[in-house]
Amino acid sequence: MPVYKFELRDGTTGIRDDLGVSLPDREHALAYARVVGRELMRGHEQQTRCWHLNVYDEAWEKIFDIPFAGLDPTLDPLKPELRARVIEFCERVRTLRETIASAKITMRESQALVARSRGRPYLATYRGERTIRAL
Amino acid sequence: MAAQPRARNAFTSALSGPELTHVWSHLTAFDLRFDDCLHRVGNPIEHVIFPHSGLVALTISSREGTGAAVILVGPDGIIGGLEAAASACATCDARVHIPGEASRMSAAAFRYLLDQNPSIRRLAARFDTAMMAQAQQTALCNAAHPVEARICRWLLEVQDRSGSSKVPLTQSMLAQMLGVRRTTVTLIAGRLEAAGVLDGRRGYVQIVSREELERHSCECYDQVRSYTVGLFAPSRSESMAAIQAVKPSPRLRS
Repeated sequence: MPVYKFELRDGTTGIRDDLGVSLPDREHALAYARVVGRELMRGHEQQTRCWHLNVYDEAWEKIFDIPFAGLDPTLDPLKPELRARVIEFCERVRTLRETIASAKITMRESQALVARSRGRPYLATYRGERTIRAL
Repeated sequence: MAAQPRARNAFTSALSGPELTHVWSHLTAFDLRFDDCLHRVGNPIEHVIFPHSGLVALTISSREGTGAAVILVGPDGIIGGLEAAASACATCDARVHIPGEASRMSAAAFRYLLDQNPSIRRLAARFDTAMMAQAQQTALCNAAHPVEARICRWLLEVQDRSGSSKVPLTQSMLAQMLGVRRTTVTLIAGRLEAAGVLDGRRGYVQIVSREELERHSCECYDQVRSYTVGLFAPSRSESMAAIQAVKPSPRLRS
């Protein structure tokens, strides 16, 4: 059976499930991802509404992109056009958050590179990730 | 006379004098091996088990094969006491998640001790109440709290029983205990790792900051712990004070 991998886009740099899950086909992968999405959302729908769950094949080729706002049961009473606008707004919020997260990483890297070039101590890792990324 | 237990369980630790001698005379030491099923739902209870170390999860399964842990028992509790007292069948599966040591007593001997000794009977009732409190809080937790908070709560519960910041549970085992997909646990573990709460390793979870883990957990952990401390406090006044010290929190943490 093919292996499908998953990535949570929660407004940071993304969190991957590298191990993946063996499933019969893409339809099952989509159904599985929807269940995972609902499990991640349950109990704090409002805070997770902007998240996405991406589904990949074994070679990390993206197959599905699932916006949580589309799974959110608390939005079910909304009219379709209003729901579509909520999904669109959530998408913008997530993109903004990812841009901010990415800018912070670049800033930390720049500070570390400047400090290193001056022979000064610098932050080598931040929460387990190298501050200066490999080229 | 049966072999003396190698370490002590909270139940036996709460006894002294002739009561302890009576209980010990019925105990046999044995090893808790990983994945051993000590009791199976619907089957008669043959032994009451007193863990000295390790962790046993009492789990309920659905017909589809999915399930969730409702109660965790380590050296702080006993397994099968309630059913043995009632001569009833097991209400859930009892499966070893972390190996360790334990003692066991036949259900008949346990019933005999309860019938003969009021103080042992009262102590057993307290342990049953503590387990009931944990099960009731788990019901609320499963229904109302986000999976991230629930994972943090279980990790705190496991750490309390194992006494180590290195929690020897895989993400698959955690998923099984919580009744969610393994991928869900992996993704939440990644978030908690990024937040500096824990460090996921192959085969175990390393708690980096217990303080942060408590902050990310739901209020269920504090509720159960405070109730249990109050339950085993020496006097009723202290017990009530300990319970009242915990104010139910209306918030649901994300």
